[in-house]
Amino acid sequence: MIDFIDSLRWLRLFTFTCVVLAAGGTGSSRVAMAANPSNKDFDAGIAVHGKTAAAGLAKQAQTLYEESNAATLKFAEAVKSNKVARLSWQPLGQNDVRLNQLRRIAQQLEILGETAGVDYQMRANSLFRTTGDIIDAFRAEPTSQRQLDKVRLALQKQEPARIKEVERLTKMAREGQWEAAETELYRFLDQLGVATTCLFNPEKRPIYAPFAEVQAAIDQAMRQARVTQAKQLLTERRQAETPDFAAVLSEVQAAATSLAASGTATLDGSVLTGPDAITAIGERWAEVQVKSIRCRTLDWLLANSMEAYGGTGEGQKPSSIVSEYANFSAAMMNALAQLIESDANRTSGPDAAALYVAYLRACAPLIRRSANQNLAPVLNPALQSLANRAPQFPAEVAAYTEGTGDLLRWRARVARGLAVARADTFPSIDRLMFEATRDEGNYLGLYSANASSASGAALHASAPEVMLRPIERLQGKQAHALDVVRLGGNGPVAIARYRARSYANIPAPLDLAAEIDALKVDLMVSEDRPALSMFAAVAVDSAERGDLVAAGGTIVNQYLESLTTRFAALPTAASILTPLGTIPPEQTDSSYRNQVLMRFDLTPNWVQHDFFFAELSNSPGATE
Amino acid sequence: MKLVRVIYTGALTGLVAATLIGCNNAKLQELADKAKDAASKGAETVKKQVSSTTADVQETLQLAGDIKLTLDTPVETKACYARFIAQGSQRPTVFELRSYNSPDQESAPSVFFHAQVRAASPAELSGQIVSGRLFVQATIDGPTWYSDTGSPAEVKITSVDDKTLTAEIVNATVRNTRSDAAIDATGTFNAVHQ
Repeated sequence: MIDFIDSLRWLRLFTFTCVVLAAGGTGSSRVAMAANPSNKDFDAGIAVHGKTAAAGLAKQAQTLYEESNAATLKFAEAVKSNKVARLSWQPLGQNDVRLNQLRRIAQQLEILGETAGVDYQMRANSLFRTTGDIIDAFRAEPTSQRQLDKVRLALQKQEPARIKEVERLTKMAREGQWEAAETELYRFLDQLGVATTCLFNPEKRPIYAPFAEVQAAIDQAMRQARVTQAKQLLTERRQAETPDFAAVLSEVQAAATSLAASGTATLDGSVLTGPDAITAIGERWAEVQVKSIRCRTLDWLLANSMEAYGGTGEGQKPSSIVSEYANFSAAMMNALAQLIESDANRTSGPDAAALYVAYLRACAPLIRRSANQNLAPVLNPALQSLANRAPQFPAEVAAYTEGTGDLLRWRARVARGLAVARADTFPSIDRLMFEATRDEGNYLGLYSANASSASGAALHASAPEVMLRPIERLQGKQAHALDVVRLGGNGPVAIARYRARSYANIPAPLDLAAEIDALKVDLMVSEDRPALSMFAAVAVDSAERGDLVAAGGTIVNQYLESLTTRFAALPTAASILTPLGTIPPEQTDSSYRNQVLMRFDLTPNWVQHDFFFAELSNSPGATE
Repeated sequence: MKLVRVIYTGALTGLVAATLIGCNNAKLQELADKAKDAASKGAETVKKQVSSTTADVQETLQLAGDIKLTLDTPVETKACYARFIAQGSQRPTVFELRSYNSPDQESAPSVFFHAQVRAASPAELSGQIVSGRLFVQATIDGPTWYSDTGSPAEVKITSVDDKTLTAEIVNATVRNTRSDAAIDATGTFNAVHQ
């Protein structure tokens, strides 16, 4: 039996085959899928953030990868069933050329700042290792020698043509026709590669040596051109994404002035009341946050392109967007408080009480979404000031606050206690991910074997190889995810917010009607009797929307995503992925381009709201 | 700790020391009566004592009472406060019994009973059975016993006067957050009004 059959590479390849077959498909049937690698399709490419050049390259790369993977599997099956002699040098050579093409495209993707480029390099390397073993086996067959002797003879006859080609390419290079020269160079080398793949290295060297100098010059020139182009593309995107912080704040201030004068404000052409303006401004704030996150990611890539490829010597400034956004958010919080005060100053009596309730409702979602609910203490004085403008009303608010505050505190304590009691059987999803993807023995995952935290997940092997372990260890396992926020306010999905390189999708809405009703009864809230304290308003609003402290359940799907794609192309609707008002810090120990995160689909068995805990006895999921 | 310091620096050390082992309604009344007696005497030294005693009694009345419950084990607190918080907008009145006078002074064991009632004053509750939520945390960071929202605890208000309120559990099943065990709770509340 051939030695390599027992090797890890063979086992890995065989495992790929089994999983692919179990999934009911093969690589070739999923050409150029736009998804990320997952338990359903671990061969899928890592999604790119670039919408033009990178998207086209990724499509080509995925096609090459899947064709090569399918061919390699076929060769490996032949070796396994002792039918190596039936193989031919041509398909082996064509496969080798495909892998070289894949490497070249992967390098271009890397230059564009795409994690997919790093991944395709690794996929190509992995397949090269396997095909190398297969070629060794092919060469060892007596029948192969007769095939290869014919190839050697043909290559000898081709030598004058090769010298002529080198001269032609050198001339093109001297004339600066780099792009055309590159096309011609690799057209020729790819054809040559098919023939030389199965030869021994000492035979190949003299064939390729004449190309070395011109190839190096063309590669260098084209790489520099691509780096320049990539920097330009990234810089243009960075400029386009840069938020106009001052303009947004001016709009809010103008709205406050208008409210003070007329009780309405105009935003985006719509005439709004103060509470409606709060909602609209909250959306604007989320848009600014998304743009800021995209900008920070593009800044990483710009800085990274300088480090990796030298660049022009201009030095890349460290990203200032995080501190700029933090300043903006602080100013935004104060501007919102000022807006409420401006509206309050023109009202009194029953109008003030009604307005106070409307503002509570409008502010509740923003407060729940703000980091550590730090918007609450900023807005509270303005809201109290508004309440004070209605006679008797402050006393009613105070009594309500006093009569509900401690109950909420105990409710939170019980909810927390019930969730903690499940921590052993539902460990945190980021911890599970960390443990399942840490390097161990021959497995290379996302963290080094001695890593102590889940903050810097990076590809240590190709995505399909990385995914094997979590699929084996996490699929169907119980876990909990923290900080669940409903996507779009009332969408069919809630997101367990991003933390420690993971986030999770959870179906929504969940059937929490009984718990919500009980909470409302405890808080004396009904259709015509709204919550009067900020805590109670946030409690009711978050419960009705389905925003949760945690959800525990079963992992039903897992996906590997690029960190930079996730955040450079973050949709505005996904602004909830991070708390409002902050851009979470990221730790990386190497290039940003190889940094990844995992997304999970979680089917919940229980949920912890701020103020209640619920077992979901029926099949969880949509109830509407 | 404030209570202990007041007790040991007060003039009627022996009398007030009784509060250390728990002040039921009768003892609280006794404290109040003795303060009144002392106040009726005219001697200067007695006046001084009265002044001190009155302050202690007031302090004691604000920071006293007790709760004695039996869950899986006995739970006793050295204070119990009754709160009667009238609401506007035709909402029910909130009635609470707590082992602390404010959340920032909470210590273990801690007990909280919360109910919504239709009564204009605490006195109207006398003799009534009140349904509400019961929470008990016996130790710091320990599990919490709680009554489910669907199975409220029933507490009978056995007496009410202008300073004190007593009550006893007549029907309560509480569940443990850690073990999920359910148990019938019994016990009494000797509260001062907050």
